[in-house]
Amino acid sequence: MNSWVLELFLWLNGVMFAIAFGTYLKRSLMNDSEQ
Amino acid sequence: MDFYTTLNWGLLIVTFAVMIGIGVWSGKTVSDSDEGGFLLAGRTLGPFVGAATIVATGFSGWGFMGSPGVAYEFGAIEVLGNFFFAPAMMVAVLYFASFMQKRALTMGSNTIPEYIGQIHGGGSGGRLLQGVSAVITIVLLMVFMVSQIKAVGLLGASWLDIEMTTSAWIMISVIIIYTMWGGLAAVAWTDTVMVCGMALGAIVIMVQMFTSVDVGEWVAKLNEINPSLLNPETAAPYGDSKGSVFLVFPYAFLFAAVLPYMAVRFLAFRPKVKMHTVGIYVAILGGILSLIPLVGLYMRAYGPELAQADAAMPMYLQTFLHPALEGLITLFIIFAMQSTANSMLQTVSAATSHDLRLALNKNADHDSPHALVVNRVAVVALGLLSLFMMMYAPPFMLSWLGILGSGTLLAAMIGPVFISTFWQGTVPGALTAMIVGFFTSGGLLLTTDIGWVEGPLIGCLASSVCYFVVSMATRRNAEARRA
Repeated sequence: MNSWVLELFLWLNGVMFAIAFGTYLKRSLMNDSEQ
Repeated sequence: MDFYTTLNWGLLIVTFAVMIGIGVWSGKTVSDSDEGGFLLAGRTLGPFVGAATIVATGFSGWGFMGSPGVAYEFGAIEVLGNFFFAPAMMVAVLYFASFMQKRALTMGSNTIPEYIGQIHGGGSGGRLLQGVSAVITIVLLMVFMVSQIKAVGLLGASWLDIEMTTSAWIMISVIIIYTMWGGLAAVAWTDTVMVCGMALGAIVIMVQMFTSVDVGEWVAKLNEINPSLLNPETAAPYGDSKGSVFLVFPYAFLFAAVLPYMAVRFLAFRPKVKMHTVGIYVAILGGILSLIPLVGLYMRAYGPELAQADAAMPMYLQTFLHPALEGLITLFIIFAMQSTANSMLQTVSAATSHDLRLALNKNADHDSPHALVVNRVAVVALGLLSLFMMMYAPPFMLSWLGILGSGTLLAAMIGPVFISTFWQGTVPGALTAMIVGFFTSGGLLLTTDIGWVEGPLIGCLASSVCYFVVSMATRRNAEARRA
């Protein structure tokens, strides 16, 4: 894209969704194993 | 009145009828034997409604109007700066909300000032903290609320082709009606409807922009105008070094975790709600809304030259969208402003009718029909007061007034709300932290030209240090006296 700001913006979006879905999966699996 | 203004009036009447309907419907959570019904939606918020009300309240009109203007003037750095609010809200939900929710549930806190009082041991010291934090909340949120009402009044005036004051009266009246009826439940459910509209508006705008131009050509055009729009050497307007823009993240995190009108939502979740589900919704809604500042870059490349950068969004709507769509998206922008204003009205009213009442009179009615009436009267009285204040507020510096109110409140509350959830200080520590945070951030913003992120963050640092140091010192004294 030839813009460090917009590339960072896209990367951080990726990180945000990775944390959101990663935490969702991790906590869901933990809840399942507790049950 | 032309056809499209009539259409706008039609949209306004229909949506306001829906909002009032939601207020009446959500009034079923209100009970005259439990103040939590009115003040905390009976702790019934599920994952989607909770996420929606957090995002709607956090993204004010600034995201739609101010931010595209900054992107038009300073370039892509604003896209990054504004984006940080989305992950910050998500992190606050995933890693802080459940701690606060559990402690508040155990203690029975119905508001943030009450939480502050109870977490520091209750009693007369707790009542003192509850009263002081309520006063600080009322003073600073009234400033912020007046700026939001003025902004929504100005936008509504051009949308409906009426006087600004009349427009502000119409906009605030509907908020007063549904908030008085249904309390926080009404605010949360109307926020949910409004954030869906805001997200839809953002999607429509993105579709228009990305289908009308080639991205490579868009980038080339911006580089032709000024290469620093996409590759800035500094993080202006956030600061001189490139890293300054990253300060928005801690600011936005504390904004979501500490400010009473944001954090009260954590207390209102259903006790067994799964915060990781809330986090997903916050990320999705926040991610969509954080794309809005791209409008500034689009206007810079393809729009007419603007005398004032703040006109980027209105001029974009006028130039590139059909008038009917322009009216609809303006309604969604009004939603963004209203969803912040209604939360502030609810918080300021609760601080007055619940916190000040309990702080000043330890025998005051609690969980009674009388308390419910007082809570409802406070919503009407403070809504009307903010309207009168708006009529005499300066016609400029709307964003700055908002920053002064929210940033200073943040600095005052960090110790007693955030740190206390993990490390309990003492009453003198909390009191000192609130006063030092208030004067440091407020003083820096009022008397220097320090950045809007830096001033409150320095205030937060000073307040946190005071909270630790004074709490440690007074705890030792108290222990020595006991020994």
